[in-house]
Amino acid sequence: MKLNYKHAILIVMMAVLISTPVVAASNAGNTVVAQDTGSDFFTTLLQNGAEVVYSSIDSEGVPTVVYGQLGVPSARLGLEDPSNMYDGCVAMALIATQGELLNYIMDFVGGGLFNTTGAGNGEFIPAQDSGTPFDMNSIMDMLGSNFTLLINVFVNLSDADAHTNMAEIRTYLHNQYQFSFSELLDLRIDESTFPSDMNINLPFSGVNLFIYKVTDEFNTAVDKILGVMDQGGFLQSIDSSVFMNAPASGAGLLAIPDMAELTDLINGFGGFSNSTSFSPGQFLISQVPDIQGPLAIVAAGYIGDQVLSTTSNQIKIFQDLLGKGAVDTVTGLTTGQSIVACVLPQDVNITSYSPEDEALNQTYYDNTTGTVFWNATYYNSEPDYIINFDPGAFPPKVTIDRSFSPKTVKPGGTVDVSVVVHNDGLDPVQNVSLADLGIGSIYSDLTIEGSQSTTALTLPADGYLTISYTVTFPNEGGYLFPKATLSYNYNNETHSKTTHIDGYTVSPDPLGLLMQLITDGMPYTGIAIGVIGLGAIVNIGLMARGRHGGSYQV
Amino acid sequence: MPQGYNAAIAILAPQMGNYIRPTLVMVNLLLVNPMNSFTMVAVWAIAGFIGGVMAGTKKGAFVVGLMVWLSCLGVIALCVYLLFQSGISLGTLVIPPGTSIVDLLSIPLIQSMISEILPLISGIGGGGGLNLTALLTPLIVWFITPVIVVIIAAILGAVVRPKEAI
Repeated sequence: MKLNYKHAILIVMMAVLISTPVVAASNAGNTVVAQDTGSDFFTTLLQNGAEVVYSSIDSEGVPTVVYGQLGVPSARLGLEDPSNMYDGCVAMALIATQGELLNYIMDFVGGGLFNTTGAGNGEFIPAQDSGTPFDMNSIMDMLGSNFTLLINVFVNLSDADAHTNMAEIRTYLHNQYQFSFSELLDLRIDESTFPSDMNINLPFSGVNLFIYKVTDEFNTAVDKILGVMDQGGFLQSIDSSVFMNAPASGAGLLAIPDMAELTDLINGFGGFSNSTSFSPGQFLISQVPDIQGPLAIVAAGYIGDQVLSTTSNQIKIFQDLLGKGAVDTVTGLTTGQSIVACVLPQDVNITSYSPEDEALNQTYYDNTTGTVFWNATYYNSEPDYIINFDPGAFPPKVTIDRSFSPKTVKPGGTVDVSVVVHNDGLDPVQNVSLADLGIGSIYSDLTIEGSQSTTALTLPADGYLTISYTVTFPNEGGYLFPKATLSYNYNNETHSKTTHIDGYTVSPDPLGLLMQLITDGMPYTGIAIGVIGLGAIVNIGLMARGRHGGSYQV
Repeated sequence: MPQGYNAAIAILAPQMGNYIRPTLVMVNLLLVNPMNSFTMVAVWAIAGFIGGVMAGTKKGAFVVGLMVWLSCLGVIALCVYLLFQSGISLGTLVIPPGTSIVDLLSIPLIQSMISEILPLISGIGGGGGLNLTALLTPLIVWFITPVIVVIIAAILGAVVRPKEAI
C-alpha cells in the first residue's frame, strides 16, 4: 500500500501545481491552447509532451516557481527502449529536496486532501489508526527535509529478475546522467513473507522495493535531474542555479513505464471501488484515466524570498524568477508544447500582459483567479513573458534574517543568535512584532539568555529591528531553530513573514567526552583503569626483567 | 562507522545526551550481521588475530578474544548506564535541517532489521502471533557473531605465531 500512497502524492503534487492555474484552457487538435481545459488537459500534455513554467506570487510578494517537462523525458529515461530493464517496474522516482520545500508542498496540496489542517476536510484515515485523521505533516517532520533518493518498485518478478533489472536501470542512469547510488533498502514482500497460517493472498506474486541514496551533493543532483530533460525549449533560458540556491528547493523525476499496469495494480488492491471517502489512490486513477503507456515527469522548483514590493508594477517571469539574462530570449520546445502560467493575488489589478493574443486564443487572463496563461508554443521567440499591474499591490520589502556566531560549537559551547529585520522599502511600517521563541519549546535542556522577542511602533524606511540572544548547548547533535516570526502593519493590513528553518550543528568533542565518561562513570571507570594500568605495569616489569625472553608475547 | 550513525547521533543526541555516540559506536561494534557488515567482521577478526599472536597459545588466545568481547560489553553497559544517568529528555523526535530519517537506512543494522525482522513482526497483525524464537534468532546471531569471529581469529593468530620458547 505504501507504493500507491507515495507515488500518488507525487502525481497529486504535479497535477495540482500544473493544472490549477490553467483551469480555463482549451484543446484544439493535439495542441492545448488557452481557455477551456477539459478533464483530458493533463493527460493530453503527458501524451503529447510538454514543458510548463508555473509561477505563483503570494500576497507578500513571495514566489513559488516550478519548471517541469511532462511526457518528454520518456525517451531520455529509456522508457521507450526495446530493452527489458523496466519490465515489472511499476514506478521509479528520483527526488532531491532541501529546506522546507516538502512542507510547503504539503501545506499547499495537503490541507484538504490529507486533513493536515485538522479542519476535517480530508478523509484519508488509516483503518489501523482507529479513525484518527492522518496528519501528513507528521510524516514530513519525521522524514526530514534534505534527501536525495532513487526509489524503484517492481511487481510480479522473481527476486533475481528484479535485482537484474534494477542493476540495469542504475547502470543506465549512471552511464547516461552520471548519477551515483548507494543502497539503502532492498526489500521483497511476497506470500512467503507472512506466516502460512495467516492465509495471506496478495494481488501480486511479489513486490521488490529498492531505495538508493543518490550520493551526489544536492546541487549536483539537481543539475543531473535537469540533465534528464530535453535541453531545448525554456531550459535554454533558465539559470539552473535558481533551483539550487533557494533555501526551499528541489527537483525530481517520476517515471511509470506502463501507467495501465500501475492502475491495474492499484485496482487489484480493491480498496477503492466501494469507498465513498476520498483517497490519493482514487485521485490518481481519476486524474490519468487514459494513459496506457509510459509516463514521465521531470520537474524542479523553489520557493523564494520576496520579489515584489510597493513600487513593483511588473513581473518578468523568466528574468525575475528563472534567472534569464536581460538580453536573452525565450524559445519554446520543439518536441512538445510549451506553457507558461502565472498566478498573482486576486486583489492585484493586472493592467496588461505580453505577449497577448486572446483574440487568437493563445493567451488567457482569468481575472477571478489572477491567472495569466500563455500557449508559448505559438511564439517562436520572446524577450520574456511579462505581467503589468498597478503599483502598491504588495507590502514594502521587509527582510528578516537570522544569523549564528560562531558557525559551530562543541558541547557546552554558546552561540550568539541575531535576528535582524530591515525595512528595505520606501515607506514606514507600523506595529512591528518580532519573535524567535521556537528553540526553547523544542529542547528543554538548553540555556537561553537574552531577548527573544521585541516590538516597535514604527519601523521607518531603511530602519532595522534586531533581537539577540545566546544559546548554550550541553549536548552535541543537530539542532533545529524554528522560523522566527515577524508581523507588521502597512496600509491598515497586517503582514507576516518568517525566517527559514535553520539548523545548527554542535560538533562532537571526543576527548572531552572521554574525560566526561571517566568522571561520570566513577567508581567503575576508575576500577577498570586501575586494573588495566596495573596489568600493564606488571607486564612491562616482567618484560624488563626478561621473564618473557624479551618477547612482546604475554 | 557507517554514515547513517552520524545522522542518528545528530537526531538523537540533543535529547538523549552525549553518551548516545559511544553507545551507538558500541552497538555498531557488538551487533554484527556477517552478511552485510563485512567491515565490522574484519575489525573483529584483525583485533582477534593480533590478540592471538600476542597470547601465543590457543588457550590464551581464547581468553584474550573472550576478554576483548566482554570488555566491549562492559563499555556498552557503562554507556547505557550513563545515558540514563545523565537524563534523557524524550520529546518529539526532531529531524534537524540537513538530515533525514532516510539516512538511517544506510546503517547495516537497520537494513538487516528491515529485511529480516520486519516481515516477522508483520505476522503479528494478521493473527499469526508473535514468534519470539524467529524474532530473536537474527538478533542472537548478530550478537554472537563478534565473539565467535574474535575467538577464531585469535586462535588462528596463536597458531600462526605460537609462543616463543624462553
